[in-house]
Amino acid sequence: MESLLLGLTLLVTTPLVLAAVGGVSWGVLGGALPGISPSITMALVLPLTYGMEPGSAIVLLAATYVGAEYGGSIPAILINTPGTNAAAATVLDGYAMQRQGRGGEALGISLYSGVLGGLFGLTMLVVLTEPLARVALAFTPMAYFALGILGLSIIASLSGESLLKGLASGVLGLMVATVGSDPVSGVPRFVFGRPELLDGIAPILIMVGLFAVSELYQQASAAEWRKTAGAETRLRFPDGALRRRLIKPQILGATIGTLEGVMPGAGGTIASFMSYNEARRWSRHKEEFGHGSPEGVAAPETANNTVAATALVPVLSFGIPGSNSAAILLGGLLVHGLIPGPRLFEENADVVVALYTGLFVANLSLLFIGLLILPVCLWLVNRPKAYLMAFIYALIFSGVYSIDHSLFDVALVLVVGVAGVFMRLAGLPMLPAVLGVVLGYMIESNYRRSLVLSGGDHGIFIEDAIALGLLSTAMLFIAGSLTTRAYLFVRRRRRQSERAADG
Amino acid sequence: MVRQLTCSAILLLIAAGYYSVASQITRSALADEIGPAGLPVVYALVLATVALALAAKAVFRPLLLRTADATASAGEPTLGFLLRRAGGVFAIGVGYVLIVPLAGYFLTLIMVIAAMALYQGERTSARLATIAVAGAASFWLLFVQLLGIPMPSLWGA
Repeated sequence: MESLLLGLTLLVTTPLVLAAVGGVSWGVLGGALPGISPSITMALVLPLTYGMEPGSAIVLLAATYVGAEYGGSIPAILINTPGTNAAAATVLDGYAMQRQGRGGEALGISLYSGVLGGLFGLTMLVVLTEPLARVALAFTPMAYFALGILGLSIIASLSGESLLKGLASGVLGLMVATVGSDPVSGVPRFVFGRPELLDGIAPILIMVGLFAVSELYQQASAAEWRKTAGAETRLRFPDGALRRRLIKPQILGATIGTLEGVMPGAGGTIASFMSYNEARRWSRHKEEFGHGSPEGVAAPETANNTVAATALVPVLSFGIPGSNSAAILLGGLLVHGLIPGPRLFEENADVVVALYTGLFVANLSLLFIGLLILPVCLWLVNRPKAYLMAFIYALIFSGVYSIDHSLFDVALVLVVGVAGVFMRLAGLPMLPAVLGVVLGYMIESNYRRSLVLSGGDHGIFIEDAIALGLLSTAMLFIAGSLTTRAYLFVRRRRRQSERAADG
Repeated sequence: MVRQLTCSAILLLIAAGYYSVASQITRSALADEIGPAGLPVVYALVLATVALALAAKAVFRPLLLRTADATASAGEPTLGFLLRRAGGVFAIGVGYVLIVPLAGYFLTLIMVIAAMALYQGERTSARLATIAVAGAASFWLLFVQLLGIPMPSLWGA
């Protein structure tokens, strides 16, 4: 009760509200620029927090994180360029909606789902920090390996028409993930003497190359885009019927986001891909997925924004940063003499309450900031194609260079774009490749660490209860997808035979 | 079918090249039982298997389902035209990478915006020049001034 009163008092405290609103605004801007990751966006405001009082400082950092995680979906929907790794799953249906002149609707769904996801995640953070923290501690290398395999298992349903092509694409992604230093011995692999490759290839470079650059290459030969009518360029929130339809994917996204968020290192990317996959599995409109499904936008956006809140559980409870962004937040806590752990909740309860209150304000202000900036973004992407393509290219160069201040990265993205064109021509789906790149390192490093722990005995993956559960779920997913595919194949063949018999 | 077989052949080549490099990875004294080349070799073998399966499917599936190759629908660009146009955009990108260390971020960005717009059919005009300069200035303000990214400057200065 005391905490609640403190929270309510803080709601009308100017510095905290300013920190929340300012942080979200800055975060949305950073997240919307491809290459400017949430961690970079947070790192840029970190020096500002040194002179602030601890509560506002932590709120500024956390609100920036919330804004940046949402911001990544704006370019994903509007220009086929995920601003953050976690926005990759939004590209598929979000951009399809934009090309159908439904960009305003897609942005409305992403904002609505993002705010709901953020508020749900915050509720979980407040209510379930203690039990969720226990889940985080129970994760072993075997469980992380199994989590990676579970992530990969959705390739079967992301593969489109050909499972083999999806597999080929996924393996290509896994191959890219092996570039760089070996996770166990540190031996360089596939670097060809280039020091820039020693740290591996950042997944965002592959995403920008495959989605955005290859789209630009392909659009160069496409006809002029159709003129979008005035009404289609407005931000549109879902109406009553659509809101009801989105409830199921939002529940799936929020649940998966909550569980994935508390696992250090799992992050929003796996959560958004898995939510997308589950939303399709349980949808009554499966055929719309990949062609502009509102559910295909709602599920990953809810998951992604839920993760932004629940990812704070391991940071606050144990001081374990599961991502670069969480590490910067941890740095912010330490700078102000706040030591994460169970005692943080007793000795610095005021800061924890300020953080929760700030996140609440941040999620609400996300809605208002979205209302202000999204119409401008919609207007921008409805400019003449020649200029829009030129500005997207300039944005890609600027954003990619910003990651490591490296022209090598820019050149790499151009080459990945060429690979993307060939993948499109060959009918190889891109999402499995992205999934392989994102999960490859996690799978390999935890697989090998597990075997080091067991002395080479693979039985360790069955002995670990969480790993066994996740691997069994992955097997069920794969079996389900294969059965559905086999059924569809047999049905198609039977229909052809019947047609042939009818003459 | 030809496109599918070409795709299989390219995947097989990638698998072979990747396997060849993977098998030359040096093994460190710190390496575990699997070693740094362990999973890469597996990936190469899986990709080769999938490529062969795709080739087999390309040959046998039309017989099973009695389907003809999909033909390009009217109005779609031909492969040659698509690759030529894409090559132009790629060349502009390569131009950016080569010129930006010399001319600096701001000037090169003006050139890129103007070149892309011209390539996409805009005509040389005062409007084009104004948009290119204003666009480059906006990016410079955002990335250099606001975000503090040290973009390449004129003559590397």
